[in-house]
Order: sequence, then structure tokens, then C-alpha cells
Amino acid sequence: MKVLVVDDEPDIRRIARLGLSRVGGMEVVEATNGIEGLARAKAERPDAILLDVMMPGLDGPSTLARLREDPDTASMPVVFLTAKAIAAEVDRLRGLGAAGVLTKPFDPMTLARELKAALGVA
Amino acid sequence: MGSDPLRRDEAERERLEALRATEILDTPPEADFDALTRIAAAVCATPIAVVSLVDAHREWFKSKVGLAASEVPRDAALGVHAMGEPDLLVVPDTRADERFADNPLVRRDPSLRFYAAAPLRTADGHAIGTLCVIDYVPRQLTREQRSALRDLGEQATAQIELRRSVAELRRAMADRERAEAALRAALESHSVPSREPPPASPTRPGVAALAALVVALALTLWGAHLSRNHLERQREHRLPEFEAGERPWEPLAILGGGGAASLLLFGFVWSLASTRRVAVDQAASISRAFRASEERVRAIMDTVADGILAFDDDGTVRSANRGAERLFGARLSELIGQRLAELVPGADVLVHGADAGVAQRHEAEARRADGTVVPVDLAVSRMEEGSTLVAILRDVSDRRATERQLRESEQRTRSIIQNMLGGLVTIDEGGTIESANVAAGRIFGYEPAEMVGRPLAMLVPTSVGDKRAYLKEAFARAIGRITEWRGQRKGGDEFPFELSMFEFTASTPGRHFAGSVRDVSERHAVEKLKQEFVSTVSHELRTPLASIRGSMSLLAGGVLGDLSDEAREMVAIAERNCARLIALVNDILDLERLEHGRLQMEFTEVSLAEVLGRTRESVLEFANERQVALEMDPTAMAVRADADRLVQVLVNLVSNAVKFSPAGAAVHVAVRESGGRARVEVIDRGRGVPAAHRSAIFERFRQVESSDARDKGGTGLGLAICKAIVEQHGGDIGVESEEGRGSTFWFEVPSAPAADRFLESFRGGDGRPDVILADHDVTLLGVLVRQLVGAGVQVRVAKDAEEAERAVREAAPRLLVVDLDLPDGEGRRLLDHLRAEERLSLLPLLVYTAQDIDEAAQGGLSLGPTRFLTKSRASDAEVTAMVCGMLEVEAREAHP
Repeated sequence: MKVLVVDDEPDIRRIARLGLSRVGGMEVVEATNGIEGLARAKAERPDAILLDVMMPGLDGPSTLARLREDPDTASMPVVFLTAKAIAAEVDRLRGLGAAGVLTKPFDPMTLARELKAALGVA
Repeated sequence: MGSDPLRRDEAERERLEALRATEILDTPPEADFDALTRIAAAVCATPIAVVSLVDAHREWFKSKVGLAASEVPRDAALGVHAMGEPDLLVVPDTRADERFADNPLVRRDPSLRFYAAAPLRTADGHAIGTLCVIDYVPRQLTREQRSALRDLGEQATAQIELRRSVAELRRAMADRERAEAALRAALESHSVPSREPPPASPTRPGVAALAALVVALALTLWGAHLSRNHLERQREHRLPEFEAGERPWEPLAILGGGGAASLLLFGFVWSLASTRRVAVDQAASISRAFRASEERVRAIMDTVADGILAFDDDGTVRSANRGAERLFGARLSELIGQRLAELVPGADVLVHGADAGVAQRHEAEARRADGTVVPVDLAVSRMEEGSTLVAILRDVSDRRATERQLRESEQRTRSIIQNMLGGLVTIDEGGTIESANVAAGRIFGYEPAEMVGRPLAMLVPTSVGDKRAYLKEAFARAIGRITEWRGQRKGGDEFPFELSMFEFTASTPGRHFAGSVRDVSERHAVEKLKQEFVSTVSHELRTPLASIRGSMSLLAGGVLGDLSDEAREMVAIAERNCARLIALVNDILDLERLEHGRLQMEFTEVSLAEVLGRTRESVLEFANERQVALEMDPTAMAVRADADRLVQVLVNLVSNAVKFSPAGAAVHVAVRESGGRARVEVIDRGRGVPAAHRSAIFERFRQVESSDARDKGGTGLGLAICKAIVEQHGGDIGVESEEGRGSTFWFEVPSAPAADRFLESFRGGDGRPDVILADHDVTLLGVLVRQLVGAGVQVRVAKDAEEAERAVREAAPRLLVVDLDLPDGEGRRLLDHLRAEERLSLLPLLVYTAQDIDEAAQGGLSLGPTRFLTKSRASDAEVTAMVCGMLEVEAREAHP
């Protein structure tokens, strides 16, 4: 399973990568912002995208919208990663068509499991 | 018949007046006069002697010897001829004298042939009668007899004058005594203050009353003075004659007549002398009484604190009381003879205007002997008669000082108000600005004077449709508390300001209100900045914390290889403290959102059993760790609540209870109904909360012990968050505790059935409602509905946008109240639908929402007259007040 992690924080990307690969045994590709994320998604064809909401430049929701516009990436499952752990925000993000919403700070030991749960895969 | 020499009009009138004044006519016989006639008859050896007085019609006999008649008609009077004589008249043979020959008393019975008389003359020279001796045969008088008759005549006159003086003195005494009595009574009843400061009241009834009184008194005093002069004149001219030794009335010369008559005469003379002594004593005692009375009057005048000056028409002071001495700082002797105009400049003007008995009041300045000036109230009166005037002066320096202090105090207050930093505007009940201070002018961009007289409405934004209603509402809400409104500056800028109103009393009629105004736009900006700061800092903290926690988690999970025991311990410490920091940041964010209404609440009907169950699940592991049992009451109650938030509250309370319970104890959660609300109690057997901390622990970072945060792992915000959440549910939270015995933390929230049953009765219904409330916040709805129904408003309730639209289409209300955050998320669409229809597009509207609505968005949310409210900014009462204001009904207290 290949996961694209899009986050502007290198530390977060690193921790997420370790959690997903070492604990979850997943293949991880990274992007440092929304624009790069769009390109990587098109190039790498990941099984899922873990997308940070608050990023400089193109933010999470906008990136999602752009993904949906491109037929190559339109159907890719996206799980948002947000620091705003409030119900309204979670509802709003779900409303945008995300497969799931995970909140920061996440536990890298359980990240892979939570991602799978959000995607509805075993 | 002899002519009557006295009948000469003018002179005769004066003579008759002098006679009347003696008051002797028709008085009974008196021993003094009888003695005189007896002596006259004896000395002159005549059978008849008479003291007679002649008035317009007759000659009347005061005393007589040898005559039966008491008077004779004037045309038969013999005395008239004697009265015209300068000295004695002696007629040796009446038939030989043409003046007497025709007189009936001479011609016929009793055929009087001899007549000799001494005229009786008053001090001012009027002849009023005679002392005469008469015989039936013609004869002569010896020289001695003539002299005696002359002297006896003078004595008769003296007796008459003496009597007149005594009568006059008695009348004067009676007047003075009456005046004295009146003065005493007046002094007692008015109690003219001598040392107390005068009343602050600008009217002085005392001075005028006193002036009238003193005039009466002074008149009497003056009258007495004149009378005394008169008396003294009497004493000088007459009384010495009575006093033995000075000018003895030579009885020996008369006694020369014969030995036999000697004894008789001596007796007469003795008795005459004694009657004179009586008269002299009498006069002396009356004179003493006068002096005593004058002293009493002066004593009374001296008790009057006001200065009293008596002065002549030419303005020369003639007398003064002690009050005047004090006032001018001068002795009586120094005051007498001074000019009034010099003592009190300008007083002479009053003198000219002073009418008899009428006191004229005037503010003046008295010049003291030492050159200082004392402000006085001056009253000047002229006496009824004569040229004497009286001035009464009251020292008003104390009152002037009080007035000056009042003025200064008023100026100080005015200056404080003018210069204080807060704006202050006063208005009348019609909403016209009566005054504005500098700060108020600055806030609204006007000169203070520019604002006076203009309507308060000019300070309200033009965007407010119905300014009158807006202000009316502002008034109702702002009295006695601080409220926030939008204002408009002179240039048109809108800005938020705080307003608090109070009513004050003023001397002018009508009601008066003062509004304290404060520009809060800067504070708003700061608040916004603070919110952004908290939010930013918190988010900025979360990201590094997330990295630390993630790293620690990977290390502790052994993903990155095995750790030594010590390394594992260190990682555990780092992980635990990281968790605490994250909890703290989360709590700060939660609280910030709660307090600014940014934490969205989802109110549904929640089973308390579910809340209790979820709480147990959440806390059980921790409780087991601490060996504390959890006991929860079974319950079937339901509440109107946001389930997650309610669980958050209960988890917080229960974990606190566990934290502070000793191992082996139990934490009990009890649930019961309490007046339409569900009451949940968390009871522990811990150390308890000291009374001093019981309310403080619900504030931020207020743990009982500062070490608690460290030892027990709390953030210090848990109870503050609980309180905010419970309050947003329309509930209460509190603690009861007994130190050392445990605590009971409790909260109450509205129970669902009570809330629902009540509101359910306002869904649907017939007729056109005044207001439709489209909201799902049962708590707010409950308050609103109760108050509006109490105010007689027809209310209908809709629980979502669909129901609201249906209700509006069925019967358009006078006002629609819409919560934009309706549960189906259709609040905005509802308004779009209504706007699309001409009939409904002008519906008055009150929109409120959890989030701020910026002005651009407001336009898209308006129908007719539309008002916006941010839920978190407005209390239930304020929402109600606004609804009532828009419906123009009076808000009433809710009866829950």
C-alpha cells in the first residue's frame, strides 16, 4: 500500500513516514506542499493521500478540490490531517469529500491502523 | 348782657382742644381741688369759692364751696370774663360793671354782687377755667388775699396739668408694655438666631418679620423718649414747686389773717401738701417704670443678633443695639452721630424709598471700624410719625460663604464631568441632548456645544432603520448596566460603544437621563487580536508538540530498536509531560472557543444513562489504577444537551473526584430531578474543598493547591471549561464540601421532557402569530417563549428551516427570528427562499448565529428591517429585549 503524505512540516512527515512504514509496513512518498502534492499524486498514483489541512500556498481543501478536478487523481481516497479537533471542523472537512479526518497530534504507533480504518480497508 | 370775649373761632377751638386734653371735665369731685376752694373761701372770707372750667356750652364746676349748682350755661358764665385777663379779675360790685350787670346770676337770684377770679392757664397758655371767690355783697380783697387767690389759681392749674401728665404716662406705659410683650412673644416664637449660621435657603422670612416688629418697638421706644422729655419738662417747670423747701408756698403770709383761722388754715395747708407729695411720688414711680421699661426694651433689642440702627432723616445714627456694635466692631458711642451712608454704602438710597412701616430689603456691605467689609442683608423702615428710621442689618457672611462653597463645589463637579475621560451625555425624556462633556464630544466627533439641543438619534448610525425603536431599546436595556451599541460619528463612521444609563433628578421639570458613553472600538480590536493570538499560539504549540509526542511514541514503541531501561524511563517522562502540555493547549483552545461562542454545540435529547455510561468507560481505567470504585445511579432521565460536551463535563468531575479520593474509597454519581432540571452529583470522600476556594476553583488556573497541577496532572482549566459548558446549556454548576470529609460537585441542566413539552405546545397553532422563532436551542427558546408569552405576544416555534418556512407561508408573522445555524444547515437557504417571494421579502427579521457575520454577509441575509445578533455576545435577556424592542412590547421578567 502506497501512501502520499502532504505536509509542510518535515518533522511531521518524518514521523508519519516512520509510523506508516515501520509500524504499518506501508510504502510512503512525501510532498512538502499542495502543488507538489498534486504532482506527486499524478506521478506516483498512491493508494491513499494523507493531506494536511493548514499549509502555506495551496491548503488542504484546495488541494483536494484540484485533485478532484483531474481525472487521473479524482478518485484517490484522501484523509485529512488537521490540528482543529472540533466536531464542526471535522464535519466540514468530511463534507468536502474526504474519506476521513485524523487529528493532530497523532500517535505514529497507531497511525497506519487509523488510516486503514478511515479508508475502510482491513 | 356782657359779650363773650372767648368766642373767637380759631383761638377758641385750640382752647377747647387744650381743655379736652386735660380730661378733667365731668370727673368726680376730688379732695385736692376741694381743699383749694375751701382755702380760697377761707382766705378771702367769701361764702362761695369755685374751680370752674369753661367749655363750648357751659361753665362746669370741678370744685365748689357755698354753691348748689354744678354748672351754669355758657351765656350765664362769669368765668369767661376772667379768663381773658392776664392776671386776677376783681369786680367789687357786679351791678356796677357792665360785663356782669346783665348776668342773670347777678340781676336775679342768687344776686351775686362780688366776683374775683384767677384764670387757670395750661402750660401752653390756654385759659381753660378759673378759681374764683364770690360774695352776695359788694366788697374788696386785701393785697394778701389777692396774692393768695393768684397762688391758689396756679396750684389748681398745676393739679390739672399733673393729672394730665400722669394719664399720658399711664397710656404710654400701657403701649410699651404691649410692645414689650409682643417683642418677647415674637422673639420666643421666631427664636431669632444669635450664633447659629443663617439657613442656606435664599429666602429670609425672618428679616422682614423682625423689621416690622422692631419698627413697632422702636416707635414705642421713641414715644417713650418723647414722653419722658415731656415729663422732664414737667419736672423742670412744675414739679419743683411741689417739692418742699425749694419754693415754699408761704402759708405764714396767709396765716397773718387771724389766730382763730390759723389752726384751720394750717390743717388745710398740711392736707394740701400731703396730696402734692402723693402726686409727686406717683410721677416719680411712673418715671422709674419708664426707665426700667426702656432698659428692658434695650435688653431685648440686645438679644437680637441682627444689628439695629435708629437714625434721623438726614442719615445720622441716633441709637444702636449690641448687634450693631458687634457687626461694626464699634461701641455705641462711636456709632452715634455717624452717617448711615458711610457705615453701609448705598443704604441712603433705601432711606428715600422707605415708606412708613414697610421694610425694604437690600443686599449691602457694612464697613466695620477696622476697615473690613461684611456682607449684610439690610432692611430700612420709616416710622409712622416723625423723622426717625430704623435699619436692621443681618450679617450674611456665613451664608455667602456657604453659597460660594456650593458654587465652587458645582464648578468642581462640572469641571470633573467636563474633563473626565468617559463620555457623558444628558438627555431629557424626549431624547434631546441637554449636555455633553468634552469626552462625549470627542467620541462622536462633535464640539460638546454642537450636540446640545439636538436629538440623540443623530448619534445612531443611518443604517439603523428605526432609530426611535433602537434608542428605546437602548434605554430599556442600558439603565443600571453596561450595554454595547453601534454609534455614528459626525463624519459618518460607525463604531461600537458602551452605554450605561441612569436617571437623575434635576430642578427642571420632566425626567432626565444621563448616559455614560465609552468608545470600545479599540478594545474590540485588542480583543480580536488577543483571540487571534491565543488561537495562533495554540496552533503553533501543537505542531512541535505533535512532533515530540510522535517521536517519543516511536521510541517507546520500540520501532526504532530496543532501549535501555533508563532510556525507556526517560522517554516515558518526556511522553507524559508532552501529553500534559497537549492537554493544556487543548483546554486553552476549548475555553477560548467556549467563551467566545465558537464551540458549536449540538443539542439533542440525551439519555443521562448514556452520558454516565460513557463517562464510566472513559474514567474506569484511571479509577482502577487508583483503586477507587465508581458507583453510578441508574437513571431514565433525558436532558437537552450536547452529549459529547456533557460527557466531557462529567468525565472531568469524576476524574477529579477519583484523583482526590484515597485508595479503597468510592466515587458516587447521583442523578435526580430538580425543578424541571436534571441534577447530577459527583460525591467523593476526598480531602474536600476549603470554603474560601469553593467559588474560585471554577475560575481558570485556580486549583486548591498550586502543587495539584504537578502532582495530580491537571491543567487547572478543567473546572473552568465545565462551568462554561454547563452555562451554555442554561445550567448551573457548583460544589458543596466539608473539609476533610469529601466534596459533592454538581451540575444542573434542563431536562428534556420539561423543555420539550413546554415548547411543543407552541409548534403549529391557528391564527397569525406575532413572531415565529426558528431555532433549535431549546434553552434559549424556553426563555424567549416564556418572556414573550408573558408580554402577551403570540408565539410560534419552528425547530428547523423547513418547519419555519412552512409556518411563515401559512401566516406571515410580524417578526421572524432565525438561528442561522439550524440543525439541517438550511438557515441561509430559508432566507433565500423568503427573499425570492415578494410577499415575504420585506418581513422584519432578527438573525442570530454563533459566528460573527461581517457586514458584507449581512446584506445577503436581510429581508425587511433586519437586525443581527451574535449568540455568544448577547445574553438570553438581551435577545429577548431585542425581540421585544422590534415588536414594540415591554419585556418582562421570565418566570421559569
